[in-house]
Amino acid sequence: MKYLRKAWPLYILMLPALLYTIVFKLLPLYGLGIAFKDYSLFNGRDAVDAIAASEFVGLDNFRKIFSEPEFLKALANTFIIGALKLVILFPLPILLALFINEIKQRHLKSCLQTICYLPHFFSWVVVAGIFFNILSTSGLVNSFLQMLGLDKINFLMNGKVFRWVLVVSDAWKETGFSAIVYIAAISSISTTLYEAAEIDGAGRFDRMLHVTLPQLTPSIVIMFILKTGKILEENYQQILVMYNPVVYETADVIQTYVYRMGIGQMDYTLGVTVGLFNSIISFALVLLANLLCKLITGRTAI
Amino acid sequence: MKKPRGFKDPAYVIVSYLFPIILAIIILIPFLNVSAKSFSSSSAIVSGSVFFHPIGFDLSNYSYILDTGLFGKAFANSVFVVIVGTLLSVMTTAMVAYPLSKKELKCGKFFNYLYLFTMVFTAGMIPDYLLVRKLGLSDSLWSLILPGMIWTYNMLILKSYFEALPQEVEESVFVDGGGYFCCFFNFVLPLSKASLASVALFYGVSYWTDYTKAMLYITSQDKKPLQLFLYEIIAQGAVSGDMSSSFTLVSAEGVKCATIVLSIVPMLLVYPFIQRFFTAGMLLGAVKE
Repeated sequence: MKYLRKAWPLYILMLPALLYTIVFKLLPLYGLGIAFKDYSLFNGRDAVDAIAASEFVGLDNFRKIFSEPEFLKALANTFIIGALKLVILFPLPILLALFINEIKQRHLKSCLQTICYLPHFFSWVVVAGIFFNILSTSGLVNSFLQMLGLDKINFLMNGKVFRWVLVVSDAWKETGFSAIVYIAAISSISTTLYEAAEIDGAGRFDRMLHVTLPQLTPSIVIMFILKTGKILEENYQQILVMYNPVVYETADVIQTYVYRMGIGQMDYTLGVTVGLFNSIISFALVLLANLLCKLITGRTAI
Repeated sequence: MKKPRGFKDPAYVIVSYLFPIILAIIILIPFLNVSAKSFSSSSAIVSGSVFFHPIGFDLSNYSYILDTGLFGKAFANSVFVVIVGTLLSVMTTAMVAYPLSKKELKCGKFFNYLYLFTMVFTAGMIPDYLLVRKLGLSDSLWSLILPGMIWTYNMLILKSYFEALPQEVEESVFVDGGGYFCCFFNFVLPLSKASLASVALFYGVSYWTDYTKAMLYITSQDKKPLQLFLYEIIAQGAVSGDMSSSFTLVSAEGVKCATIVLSIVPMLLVYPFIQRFFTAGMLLGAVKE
């Protein structure tokens, strides 16, 4: 009683967030029931009401999605595009941070930082618009290729090339901003380490290799693990606006597939089943990543 | 101190300058190209002769977009969502982060796990969609705000910041007969302006750039936020490359470029003011427990 007399304001303060969590985070979990039912919109008065009225079929829907070639393709694409981005895009911000740290002219440095951070603040729609523009058959890049006497490339319609469009546009948008965390980590390295290295005769390259990089390693490990954990969710906003039916074969990922099937064709059963599968894998990946992080660095990432 | 000899250092320094400079150029070039096209005449755009400066200077792309009135409406919708959404998000996030930063809070662990769970396990697109429809929020601007109002990640950032605040101030408030409300509104919030601003930045940018919620929930033309408006203009010609009948007087590409520029400008205007919060925010995120 004495505790509550003093602490009740704390619970009042938490109330909006609690309400939000119950309504927008926990209530939707009820909709997951669709994944285990022979669901039809016509079983009830409305889409939600029909969930309880539909017949329970166990894991039938999951068996079905695994015989769906389009789903299997989307699943494979998710991991391929995710891995491609991880391998190619992960080192870029680290390099950028290391290099920008070597620039001693303050104005040049902050000017470069300002420009490099900027695209992060554009939506994927804007970035897609910009890339469609420069990659179109009459666009900047193809004009340049022509000038060099090379053949034009239809970047947006060629499945193999399109994956690279996804990787490059992601690099364009996020490399700068992702470097901030490393730039901040570098600026917190003690100067005495550098002074000691300098006395030992280490040049700038050696100092980077033997002082900066080892000091950055914990941040690098954590960021890598976090990125791996999010491999399933990251691409949705980008691909949904950039892809087109010609490149579904190589660019359709789980989330875009759910959008097309669930919202586009109103196949809620397929949408929810695939979505739940995605959530479970995602959940497992995050937990695994967190466990790894704890084992390697001794602290949790989430 | 003697300078070490060899090619390693000069080469490294050259690369150190080249890499960021080339990246900056690569970032600027497409941007210049799009702005040049937006100010060019349709014939110059169609002939493919516009690169980095406008050819046949012409504002008809802009007047075409602005005359429809749809851009203004979409822009107003986005501004509403960003301002109202960010205020609501920051307020509610701070309100839940504060109690959770208190060791004396009973059941704190339970709430902590609840919010962590909702961060890593989500019901997914379709259940969210059905819920928003069931709540009667579809086709309202609130559907762009409420479903993503609180991010556990931002809550954790504020929580760890609150935990690090000096406890003596609060104890003196209690001695003076004040309670937690007094502590929170009079001391904790004013002391945390910088981290609140960083969190507001994260929320604001996400409200401004998100288009997927609008794609799911918004159907009527006058409720569309800017990004959805832009999406429809860009996606229209993305696949077929042709122009719809309404685009005959101006080139579709020019109109797209003008819309892109128009939707970037507001961000460029606020950019100098928000820039100083980037590092603070990212650092807060990196130094958790």
